[in-house]
Amino acid sequence: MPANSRPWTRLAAFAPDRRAVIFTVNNCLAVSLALFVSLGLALPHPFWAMVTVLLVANPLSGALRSKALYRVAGTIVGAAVSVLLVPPLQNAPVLLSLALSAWVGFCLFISLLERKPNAYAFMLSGYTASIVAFTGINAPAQIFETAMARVEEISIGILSVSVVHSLFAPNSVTAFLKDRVRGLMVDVRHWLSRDFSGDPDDAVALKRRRFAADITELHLLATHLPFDTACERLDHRLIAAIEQQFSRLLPLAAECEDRLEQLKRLGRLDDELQTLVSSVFAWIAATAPPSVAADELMARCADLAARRLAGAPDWRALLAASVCAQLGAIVDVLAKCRALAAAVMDPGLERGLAFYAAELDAGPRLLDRDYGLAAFSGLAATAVVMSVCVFWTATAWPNGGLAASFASIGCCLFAASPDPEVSLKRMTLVVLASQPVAAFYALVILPSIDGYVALALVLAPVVAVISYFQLRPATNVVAIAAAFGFFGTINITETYSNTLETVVNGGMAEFLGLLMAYIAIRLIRMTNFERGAKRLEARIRRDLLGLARSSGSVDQTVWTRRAVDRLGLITQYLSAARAGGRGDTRIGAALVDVRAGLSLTALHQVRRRASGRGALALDIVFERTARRLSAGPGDDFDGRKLWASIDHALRTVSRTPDAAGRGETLIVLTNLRRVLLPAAPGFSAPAPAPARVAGAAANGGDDGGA
Amino acid sequence: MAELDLNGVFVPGLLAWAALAYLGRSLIAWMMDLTGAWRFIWHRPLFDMSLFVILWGGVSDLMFNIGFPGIGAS
Repeated sequence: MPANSRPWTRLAAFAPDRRAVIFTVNNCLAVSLALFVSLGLALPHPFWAMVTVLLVANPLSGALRSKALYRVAGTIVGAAVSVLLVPPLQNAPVLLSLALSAWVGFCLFISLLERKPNAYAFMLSGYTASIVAFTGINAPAQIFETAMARVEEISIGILSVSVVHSLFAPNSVTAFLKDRVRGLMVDVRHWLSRDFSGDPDDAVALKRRRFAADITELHLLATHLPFDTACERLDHRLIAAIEQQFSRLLPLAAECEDRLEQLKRLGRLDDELQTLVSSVFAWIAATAPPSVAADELMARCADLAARRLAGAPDWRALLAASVCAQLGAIVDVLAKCRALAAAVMDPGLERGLAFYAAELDAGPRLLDRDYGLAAFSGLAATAVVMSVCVFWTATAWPNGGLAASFASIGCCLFAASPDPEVSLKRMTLVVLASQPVAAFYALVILPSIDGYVALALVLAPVVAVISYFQLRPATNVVAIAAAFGFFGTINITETYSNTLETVVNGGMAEFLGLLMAYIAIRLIRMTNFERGAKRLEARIRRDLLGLARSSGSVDQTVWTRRAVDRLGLITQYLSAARAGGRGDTRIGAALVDVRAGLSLTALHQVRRRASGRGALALDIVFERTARRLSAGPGDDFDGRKLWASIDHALRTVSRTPDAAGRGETLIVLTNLRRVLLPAAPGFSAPAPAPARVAGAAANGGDDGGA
Repeated sequence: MAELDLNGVFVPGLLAWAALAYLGRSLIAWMMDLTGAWRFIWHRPLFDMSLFVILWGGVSDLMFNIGFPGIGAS
């Protein structure tokens, strides 16, 4: 019998490692501490403090502390809003429900626009207001006390979890980031070398596909750096600089691969070019400090490119020059990455990195923002909460408040994930499944124990199990749902007040609230992975069109960063949707769009320096590109016109040997031609007679379009 | 138990001293960041927390002994 089918081997996969044990023990300690303090202060709902501990806990201490801070801020705002809304509207239930639903929706809208962790504060303020107001509606005169109590409970939970997890074996974000950067540098070396050697290797190809997503993950982790527990914190600007350089690598590598392939199709690479390619390949693959300096390699590339472009370059010469330019750029970017990575590993080196300080003032952070989706999710949340409130008012159900609170929690918690249906369904089912356990605890175990110590001990196994499953990303949602469901139902208060009636009512209310949220999300079906990917692709294409039409300058770094972020998201969504081979094609298409954008921004730059007929020719290229991009894929005619205009521009520029930036313009036009019209045959050498142009266009003929 | 009367809202004195102590701690932590003094600390969060508690105790003691014009009942 093969080894991995033995039951104990598979069970061993669940065995906790040291980090999991520490995390679980810390969680139990934190929950006990929260319980102790809440009971000591005689707060009405100690179980909120305990649930907070479990929700905020995170294996990375920096992430935990940042989440904690935002949670407190959000709770205070939410409590204030509820105190503001309940007294004037207490006799108008419909108006109150409307106001609170609108607030929840608004907060959700804002939190979805900000993908960074501080979005958590907005989300919290939304559903805190709904929890405080809906559960406190039965005693509106005490709304201030209810709100204060909730803020206190959350704060106690947060303080407990922060203190315990910071003091006992904290895991530093800095160490984690260093590991990630080191791993990414190794990955980059692997897949870059593979591009040049052409060896197919699935594992490496997978890493390259995931690279864009990895870059965004790096960024999101770096936002926790200010809260880090390590003695020497990493400067988050270093991480920002590395991200920028990494983002440039992906399209550059794809371009280089494409040119080399084209050159090989036209025949063997000539010796000079082959030597250069081999030297660069050796430099990239070197694990020890390479013997050849990056500057020298870059100079050789620039020199070869200039020589190829002299005189009247034909298609092979243009391609060769383009390859040299790409290789030079790759060497430059990789050298910077290596320097930055070395500075990440050893902060002492940071002082000497002059170049990154300048690059960092490139502007604000550029994560992709989906306004439409955020607005829609906000509206959906408003509608769900409103309908639960209407049901509650119409049926005069005493626990309706709990249902409405849980409906808002359900909408908010998963709105940020691309497939909220699945997570919400799991949460609903798990809350239902946790009710029997909670009922057993509430009705059998709790009445038979006495005193704080016994209570803490009795709850410890549940907390341990929840914490353990929280660590694994696959069961994270399940664990959080179990925490909500279990602790919400056992309802630990100052004096024991659970009866079968309250337990069943409470459980049913939670379940129904979540169920309604789930049904609403399913009906709306706005987002799932497929649609998310489609929307991203549409946004990339819309940006591309904007680039082609704009006359102003667009910062290349800004454009690259946002485009690669979108590419990363598309990769994540399509792999989660298990799109398989078709998914790879779409990711490839998105990468082509990113490369097209880069070529267009470069074209803008050379256009600024061009003059005379060259400038006119470039303007025509822009116009035709815009028309080609806005036309559908079946529209062939514009493709041929675009082709003709690019060829015309190439001829015009190559015929003026003294024009400023001639070499650069030729290279950029070649890149543009390759990326927008990949199936078009090679550019023919400058020919004076216009009849030849038409002849070449008709000959190459069948696919003038991309 | 001292209480601060801020326009009718009574804030417990301890909370106010805690806020002051937190500011003091942040200041010291920032200065240590600038000078790179964190290298000599074994466990940063422990140091932070201890510093906070010490400062809190110090501020409370100072306020208790010196007195403060805005305090309601000292």
